[in-house]
Amino acid sequence: MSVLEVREVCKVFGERRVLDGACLTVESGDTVAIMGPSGSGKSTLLNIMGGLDTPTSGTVAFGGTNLADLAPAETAAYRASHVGFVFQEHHLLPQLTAIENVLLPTLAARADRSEERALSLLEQVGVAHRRDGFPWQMSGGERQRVAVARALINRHAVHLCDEPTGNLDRETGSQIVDLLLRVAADQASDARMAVVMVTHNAEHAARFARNYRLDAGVLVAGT
Amino acid sequence: MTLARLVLRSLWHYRATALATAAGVAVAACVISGSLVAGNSVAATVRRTALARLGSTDVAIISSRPFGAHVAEAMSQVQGAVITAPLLLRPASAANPDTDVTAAGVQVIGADQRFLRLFARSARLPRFEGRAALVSEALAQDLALQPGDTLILHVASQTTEPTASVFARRKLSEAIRPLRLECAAVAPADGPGGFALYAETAQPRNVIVDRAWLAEQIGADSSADVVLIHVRPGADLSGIERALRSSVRLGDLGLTVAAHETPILQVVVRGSSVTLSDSQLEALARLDPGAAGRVDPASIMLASRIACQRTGAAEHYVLSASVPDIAVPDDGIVLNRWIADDLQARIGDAITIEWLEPAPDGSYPSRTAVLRVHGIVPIAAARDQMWAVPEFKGITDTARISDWDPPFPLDLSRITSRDETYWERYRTAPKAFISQAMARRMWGDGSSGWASAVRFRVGPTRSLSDARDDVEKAIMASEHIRRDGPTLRHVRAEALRAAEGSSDFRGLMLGMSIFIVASGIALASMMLRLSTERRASQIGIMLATGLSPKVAAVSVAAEGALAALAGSVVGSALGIPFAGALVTALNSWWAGAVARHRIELVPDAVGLASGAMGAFALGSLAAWLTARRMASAPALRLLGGWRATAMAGHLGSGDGALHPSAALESRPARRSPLIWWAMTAVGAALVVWRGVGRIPEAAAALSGGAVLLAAGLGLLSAYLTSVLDRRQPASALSLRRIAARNAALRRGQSVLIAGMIAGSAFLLVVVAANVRSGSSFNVRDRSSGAGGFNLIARTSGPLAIGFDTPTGRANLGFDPQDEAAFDGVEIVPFLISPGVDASCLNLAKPVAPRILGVSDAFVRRGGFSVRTLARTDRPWSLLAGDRRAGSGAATTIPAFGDAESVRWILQSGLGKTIVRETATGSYRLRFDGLVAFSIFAGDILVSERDFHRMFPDVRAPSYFLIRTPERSERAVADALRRNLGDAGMEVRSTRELLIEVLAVQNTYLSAFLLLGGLGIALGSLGLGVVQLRSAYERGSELAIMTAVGLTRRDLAAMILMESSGLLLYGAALGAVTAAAANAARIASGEAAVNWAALGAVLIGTVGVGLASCVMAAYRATSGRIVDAIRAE
Ligand SMILES: Nc1ncnc2c1ncn2[C@@H]1O[C@H](COP(=O)(O)OP(=O)(O)O)[C@@H](O)[C@H]1O
Ligand SMILES: [Mg+2]
Repeated sequence: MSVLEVREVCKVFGERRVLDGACLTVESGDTVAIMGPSGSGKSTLLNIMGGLDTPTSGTVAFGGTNLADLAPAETAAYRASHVGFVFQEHHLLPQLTAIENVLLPTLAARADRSEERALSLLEQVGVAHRRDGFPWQMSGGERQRVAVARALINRHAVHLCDEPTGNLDRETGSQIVDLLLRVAADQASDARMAVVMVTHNAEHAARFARNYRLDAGVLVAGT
Repeated sequence: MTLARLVLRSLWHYRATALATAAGVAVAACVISGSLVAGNSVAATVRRTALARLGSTDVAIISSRPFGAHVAEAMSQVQGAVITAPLLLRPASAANPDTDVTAAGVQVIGADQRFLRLFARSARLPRFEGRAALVSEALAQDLALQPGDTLILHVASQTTEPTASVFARRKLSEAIRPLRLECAAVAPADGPGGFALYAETAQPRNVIVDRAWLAEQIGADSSADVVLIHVRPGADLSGIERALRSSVRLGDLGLTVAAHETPILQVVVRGSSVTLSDSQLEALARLDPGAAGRVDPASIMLASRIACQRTGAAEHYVLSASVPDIAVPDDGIVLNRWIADDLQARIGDAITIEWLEPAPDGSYPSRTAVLRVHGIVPIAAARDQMWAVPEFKGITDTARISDWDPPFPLDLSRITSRDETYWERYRTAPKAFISQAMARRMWGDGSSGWASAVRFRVGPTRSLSDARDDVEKAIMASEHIRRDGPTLRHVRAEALRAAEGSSDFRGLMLGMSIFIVASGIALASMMLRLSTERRASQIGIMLATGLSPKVAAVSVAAEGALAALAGSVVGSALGIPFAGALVTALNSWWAGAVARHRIELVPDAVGLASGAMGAFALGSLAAWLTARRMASAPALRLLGGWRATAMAGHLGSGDGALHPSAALESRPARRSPLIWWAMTAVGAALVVWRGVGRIPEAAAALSGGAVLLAAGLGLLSAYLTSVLDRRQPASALSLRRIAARNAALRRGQSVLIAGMIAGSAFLLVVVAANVRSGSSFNVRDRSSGAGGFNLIARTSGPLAIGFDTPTGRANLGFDPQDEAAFDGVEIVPFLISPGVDASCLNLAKPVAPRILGVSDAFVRRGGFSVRTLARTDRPWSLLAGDRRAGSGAATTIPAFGDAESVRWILQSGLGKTIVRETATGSYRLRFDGLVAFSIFAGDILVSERDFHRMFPDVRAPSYFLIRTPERSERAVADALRRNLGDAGMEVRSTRELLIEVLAVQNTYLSAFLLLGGLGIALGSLGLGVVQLRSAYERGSELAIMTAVGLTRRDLAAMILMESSGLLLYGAALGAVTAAAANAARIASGEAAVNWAALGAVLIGTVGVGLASCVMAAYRATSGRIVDAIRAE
């Protein structure tokens, strides 16, 4: 079953056509890696898929609903309940502790705010011992793991990860990828989680089920 | 790349923030310079009016008694005297016979055309001669007079006798003369129509008539009591002084000198009235006329009846004398042969002597004494004593006794033909001789003078004419006596002193606008702080690359200073329109604050420059403090951005902190919230203690409130600290909590914002609680500001007969039908001196404030609320209290004054003294009591006894406080106006006066409220701007929240919660603490809190603040989220 359907998406910034008819279908349980040179439009594509940005033309449909048809609040609700973001920068709120940062999305989804689940996620990403630490008291890797845990809290259908390992050392990077893939695999079969990850790292990409390359505004399968 | 270049680059890069900073400083500069310019304009107006009333007069010759025209003549001869204008000045009342409208407090100016030359704007005025008069604008307006209209003046006749003398003409019909005049033209208020010797700011009601004509009408000979002199610029005034010395004659000092050969060689000095005044007598006694020997006073008195008890024979209207040559024991009497024969009296007989004593009610009750015949002298001996008898018009100049026209009742039926024969033959030869003590007793023991002449015996070696010259010279050389006559007054110099104004108007205006200044600066400093914080990492880089913290701070501060410079220059230019707006307001809604003066905008460079410099200084200071604070933080922290810095600063070395620097940081000293609770208790105690009366109410309320306020802010700070400290379950995470964390992260700024709002709300409520209502006054309450009196009455001159008794009213010619209205009416008369209003109604500085003489009866009665140094149940008795002789010549006199006027206008205080100069000397008035807000706002009160010393000329009251039953208030006021209209009777309700005085205060307070409200609104608008900018700073944070699915509304709500929480807490804290501190005042009903206005200002302020925060929140979340993420 296709969860996210990207059709003929174009994005133009001024004179520049960054995306030019990109197409991508993400099935539930899919793991997709997108590679491409810097500035090729990978982040742009991910933002459009998450409803953070709108395409100049083309459509993004989630479960058959065109995102363009949603009101702003509905878009927010879409993100809250279906999309988890992990950015290259951790983007943790400095005023919140690790566990509070993990719980942040539950504020939006008005969802289960149980501490156990957040703690178990922190355990899964291996930073449970830092639960009450503030972001600036943590290392880059720890922060990124907290960010991943935050992305996972709401049991989203799709996870959009934009170079989550870009700033990390090799080992930590592969731990994060492990984590994403493992958590995806752990999900119950009826609500399998899809992961779309942008990366420069071919090694990481190779571990994903499908690989794409963003080239001249279109997605080309393979590396 | 130089530092300067870096500064300029950054300035351009962060131009939006710099612009906001500049705007804040510009607001401050605009308001400071505008207020200063507006204050200067008021001061300039006061100055202009103070000087304009004198025309080009520089100095004046002024005397309490009219002096001869030769003085003016001599002045006009002096080198450098360009214009000399002799004047006769008289108080009067005026009426328009067509409308029957009357106006009291009129000044009649008897002048000639030279007077007009003193004023620039009088060229086109017609000549005034005879009945043709010039009427001042103010009076023409009050009486609706047009040129050609008739007006009736009632002017006091020339009097010489003190009112307490039996020879004084006290009947209104004799004391006041009606004059029918024609209004020839209206004299402009900025020309002769505005002339006034004293710097009262009210527009004078002047009538200008021909001096010679006026003198003739009121029986003042052809004399003047003032000569105005305009001298050539730079001319030496000593010429005038010399000319005055040489031109003043004995008559100008109210004295005559005569040489007599009988009974001995003697020089006799007499006054222009029947008796010499006490001060004249004292001065004469101190004279040292060289060879002329001993000084002896003599006295004469008219006994209304002298009867011999043994024979029963009596004689009426017997001139009795006390003379140095006929010694009489205190209980004795010496008769001349004539009367001794008539009475068939023998030595040792008991004689009943009766005389009339003038009572304040206009009657002349008889007094009697029993004396023993001590001797009988021949008529010739009596005739030798005629030197002691002065002239008295209506008696000494009549051919027959039946032609006498004395002021006292004369029973002509008692006069026999034998009396007429004596008068014909021996004229004023005294029939009886009494002791000096008896003479004094008959003259009322000091209520007026008693000596009718003073004689200097001439030594055997001197010729009589030489002796006479000696006495004259000695008199003319006596400063004491000369002070009583024409003296030189530097009226322009005095006016210049008065022109300094009663208050510092610049300070007042600045004070009223201080909130706007504060919010402008607060806005600027918050913007500076934001922009500095935003660049924490930049500063970190600067420090990391080896720049010293100082240089880093300077470069950042320089940026702020440049913005402040631009703002202050632009702002001070905008000060002119702001001043224009203030002046417009002062000329319309706030006219009450400047006693309805027309204020003209006078731009002054100093004010503008001060505004610019002040705002620039404040702005740069803020920039420097902010930059220094930031640059003194550890570089590593700064590199992590301000939030990390702030957090680390707060939490100190965290659990397993990764930043090495964090471990080095010591935790800031954290105060326990206990201290704030303790402060709350102290504040509450201060407020409650006020009731105990140990601390002045206002001080207790203000300080207690301030302590409560500070404690409230301390608690807020403690709460914010605990927000970050508290380890709450993570599951309790909410938007509200994030908002609280945000506020806590910027604890300093949050407390600052809340404090600003709280302080403003506090002051607004305090100000509002100080607005007093006139209508809620219970004037009937003795301790109120009206002392229980509901009417206040004034006449244009002293009223020799009091209207406080039925007899007095009858003697004043009241309509008997009006008598019923006075049932149950209490009337208390006061003596009142010349001088100016010392209340806030007078914008000029009261150089010679008005003094009220308080009678013993009033001291016994008491009333009003008086604060004294010593605790006493009868504060008014302090006026009669101890008189320590002051240092030097000045004597200290206990005085009371209005608390506010003494403090603000006279710049004195309880127990302190001011100096008041009068014609008789210089007196130190020590304020032994301060009357709480009252009808005495413009007056200084002293006891009647002290008053007589200061102003011996003022012997009768012209100021009256009246308490009537509720129902007869109107009837009494009407009866007084009707029956004493000629005396210039003005009756007002005390409430009206209180409201008038209040209006000034209340206008200031409401202006303060309005400007303060404006300032706070601006402040909260600034809060919005700050929020907006800080929300932009937090773009990525908001973006991440958006990314996880929070809606814009959620984010806006969070931002709003953060700022509105502070806003509402601040407003509530300020309002509640102020209300609590002033609870007693508000509850008493004395405060006329305009709840609607106050509520509107507070709600409006909070509303504007909330609105600007909402806007900020929406604007902050309306940007493209993607960009925000990208920007990181
Ligand atoms: N808001 C924007 N305005 C203009 N150009 C943009 C904007 N966002 C992205 N771009 C441009 O689009 C291109 C693709 O950017 P991005 O998607 O971030 O690339 P990638 O993530 O592949 O490195 C870049 O050249 C970038 O400069
Ligand atoms: Mg990218």
